[in-house]
Amino acid sequence: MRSLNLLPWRDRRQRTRRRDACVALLCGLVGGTGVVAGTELYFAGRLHQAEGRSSQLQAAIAVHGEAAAKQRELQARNAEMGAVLAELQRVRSRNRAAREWLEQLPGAVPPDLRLTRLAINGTAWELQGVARSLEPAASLLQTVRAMPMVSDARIEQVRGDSVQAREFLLVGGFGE
Amino acid sequence: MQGLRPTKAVLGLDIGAGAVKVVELTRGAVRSSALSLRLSAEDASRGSGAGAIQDALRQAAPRARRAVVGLDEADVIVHRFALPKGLPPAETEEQARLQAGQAAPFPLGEAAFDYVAEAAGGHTQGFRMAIARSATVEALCRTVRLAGLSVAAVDVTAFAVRGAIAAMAGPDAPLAVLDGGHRQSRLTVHSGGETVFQHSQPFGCSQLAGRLSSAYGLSESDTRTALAECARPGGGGARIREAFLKDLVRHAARAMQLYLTSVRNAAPPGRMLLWGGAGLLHGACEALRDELDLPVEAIRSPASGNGAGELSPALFGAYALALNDHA
Repeated sequence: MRSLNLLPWRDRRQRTRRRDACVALLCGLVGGTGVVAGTELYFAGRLHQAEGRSSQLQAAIAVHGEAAAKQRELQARNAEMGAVLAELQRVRSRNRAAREWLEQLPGAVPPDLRLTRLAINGTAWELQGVARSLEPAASLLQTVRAMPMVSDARIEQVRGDSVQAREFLLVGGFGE
Repeated sequence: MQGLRPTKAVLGLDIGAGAVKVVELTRGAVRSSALSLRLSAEDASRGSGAGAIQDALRQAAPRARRAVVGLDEADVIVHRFALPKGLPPAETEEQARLQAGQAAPFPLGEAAFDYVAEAAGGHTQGFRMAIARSATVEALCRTVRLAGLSVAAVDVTAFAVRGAIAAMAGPDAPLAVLDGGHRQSRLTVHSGGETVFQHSQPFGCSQLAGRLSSAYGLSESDTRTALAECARPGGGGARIREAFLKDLVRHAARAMQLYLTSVRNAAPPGRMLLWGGAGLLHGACEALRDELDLPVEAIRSPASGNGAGELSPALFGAYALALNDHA
């Protein structure tokens, strides 16, 4: 720059620079605020999305949790049902043993022996009867013991003397 | 100077003592130009110069409305100072303000000043400062605004011309420039892109106008016409013109002798350029060439057009002003 200018152009330039600096600062502030606001809005949107997704996932987790609980309950019921079925199976086999025992029992009773009571309680059975002597009762005990479904058969009690009829009680159980 | 090619359209307005000169530059080329003579003493005062400016604008019909105006060198104080190299611009401005306060013979608040860098030394940078009264600058601006123009910059005409000539002359042999103005003639010698000598004498075209007026008993308006007639080859008043040219040549020779004797290791100029109103006078260049024994030519703006070349010697000041960087 080699030309003179006696007008106050340096002052004007300084004012212009100051104004430009102010404008630039203002623009920077506005731009910065805009950028910050935009960033905040963007991340707020992202956060909102993430929260929405998180709530969706929590809802799905809750649904899956309920399903799992139901499944566990079903499994428990299944197990209970298995136990019931096993018990039923056991009762059924025991009942079969009792039925077979009952079918064979009339044939095993000697003629001089009279049965007065028969009781089956679970796997145990009791036979109460009257006989003239102990022989028929012993014969019955031998016969019953020979039956395959019977276990642990014994004479539990004998009452009466040798003149009168004797009452006896046989007890035993059904084998598994 | 930006390669002497400003891009915006701008007017160079040279308000001289004898005439107002207008040159319009568009993209570095002269688009229009005009010269309006102002011989009346009243008209020559700054306050009433708007009429002459408007007259010149009517002739030129420029498109541009921004003008670079030139102050006369007599209205400014030139102060040279040096500062250490590498000062920050703000500190340079502060130092320049201090320098202006020291150099101005009036309060700094009433001063309008500007400075440009000149030749640099080993550790210092030279500056040339021009200081004028704010009131003078304001009055000039007011006059220009009255003529319907806006002021883009206020330069010093002589400095602008020197800058333009230095840019044209380049680092060749010394170049002498004779400004045959209205009230004074000034010889300036440029060498190596700088002004090495300057001498002014109170002799100018106003003497020619006075001689014509007294010889033929002319009124001021008739004198204006007679001056234009006298400048042409074969026009009237040839004897008066030749006598004036002899005096002009004598003053120029004296100034040249002063240059050769006063400046140490002064090399004689390789050529001389003539500008100002004297450059319009027929036979001026030949008379100077015969007396000074060196090529003399009327100055021409390097980028003239639209008929501006005819008035180039007188319009060069306006042309140089239009090249101002601040426009």
